[in-house]
Amino acid sequence: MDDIVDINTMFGPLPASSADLAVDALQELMQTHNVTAACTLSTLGILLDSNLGNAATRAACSEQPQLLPVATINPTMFVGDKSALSRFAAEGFRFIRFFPREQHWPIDFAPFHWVLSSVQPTRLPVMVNIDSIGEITDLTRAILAPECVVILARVDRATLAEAIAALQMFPNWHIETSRLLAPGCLKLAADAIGPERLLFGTGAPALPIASGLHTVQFAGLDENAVSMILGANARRILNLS
Amino acid sequence: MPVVDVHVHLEGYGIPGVNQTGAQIREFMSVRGIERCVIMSSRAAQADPLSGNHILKHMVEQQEGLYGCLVAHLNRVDASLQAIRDLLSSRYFVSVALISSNPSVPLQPLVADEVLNACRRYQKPVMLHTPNAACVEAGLHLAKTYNMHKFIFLGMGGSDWRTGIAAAHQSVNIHLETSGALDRAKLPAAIEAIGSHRILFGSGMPTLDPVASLGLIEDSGISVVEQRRILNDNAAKMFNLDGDQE
Repeated sequence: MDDIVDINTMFGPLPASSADLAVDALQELMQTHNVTAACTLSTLGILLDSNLGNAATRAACSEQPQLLPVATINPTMFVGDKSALSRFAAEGFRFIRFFPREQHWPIDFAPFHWVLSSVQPTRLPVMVNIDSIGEITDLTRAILAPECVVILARVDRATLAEAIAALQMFPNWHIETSRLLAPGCLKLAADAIGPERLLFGTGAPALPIASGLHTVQFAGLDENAVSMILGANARRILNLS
Repeated sequence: MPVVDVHVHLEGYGIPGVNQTGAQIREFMSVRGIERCVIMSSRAAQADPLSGNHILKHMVEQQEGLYGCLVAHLNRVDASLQAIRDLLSSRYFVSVALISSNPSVPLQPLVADEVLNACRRYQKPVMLHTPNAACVEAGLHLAKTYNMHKFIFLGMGGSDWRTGIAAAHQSVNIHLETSGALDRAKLPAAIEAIGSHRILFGSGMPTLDPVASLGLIEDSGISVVEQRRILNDNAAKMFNLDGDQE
């Protein structure tokens, strides 16, 4: 199997699942499926406090070189303090994730726009969870700079057409694959926007890595496209060695 | 390991070449190592129970390894009762599914009564969509009322799978089907509560590619014996797939 980079993992307490997501469980799954690197973050940053979560993420990733830290910010708690944001790149964070549904805020939300404009000087990519139709369209209005690298996470069959339409407009936007599990969706996306704009993600360890991995392998894509989606695209976009 | 997928839909999917015909489903499943599957008609669920179920019968008759689940639509009771009378005695139909216009809304027991009474003489398992806790609770009521039937809860409660497991724990005629949330914690929890003999593998294809559903079984940390039961043995026994009598 080629180099595999999972850009959507997390660890820590998660009430929506029945058990805490242990770093060990993530590493065990990675080992089982030969995943070389995983971008991850602490759920504390989603559920409780982003500063606390980002610190926990850095601590966990500093001990495990195959885990790559991802920062998060809750726009409902952002009141203009840019000092933490400006340190993200220097602290080794690979990109910044946003969780609208989990934190109960809409994409079309002034504090989110403010956060986005504030993080753009860091030049870090941003990854936004998409959970319903219309959110991607809202996001096309929220992102200010066209050079900003955006990853749409959890795009599924219902939101795929909207994602493809957005990617036609914004050449630096990409799609994460954890919810593209319906037959034909990955192939459809790869044919429409190019396999170089699809990034492998799973939601592990709450969700199985095998599901996403097998779906890519059975998607009817050529070997080069599979290799790009599973790892090469993430390495290019996230500047991973 | 042999695999039976008990939850597959015929037609109603926008991407061509997946499930428009029985032959397509057979080929699609075969490539993924799935030898047998139980199919329900989206046409019967969304448009016309009578023609949808008849078309399904025609398709499963022609493909080895395909079996039908007759769809009885509770908004189209007369057509559904006719379909039951016409088709449910056929060996190609191994189950019946009760559905309404919106799968996320619980079934109305008073309307379901008429259909379930009509199904009694055939003694075939009854499938119910249970994508949430409210549907599980409505299904539990039916399972307790009609304890002569075996019930299969498709999706086992979705993200409310704990409720699905609790229902199966309460009523031994409830069986859980694995589609729904791809949560790695749910199968170990279900096995601990009710054992692996009342759990059936289903993908809900084309909602999910069956390989994604198989990935959940693979990554759930359950034993090979339990996997074999869930993937094949339980379904083969429940639907008498290895028998050969009309």
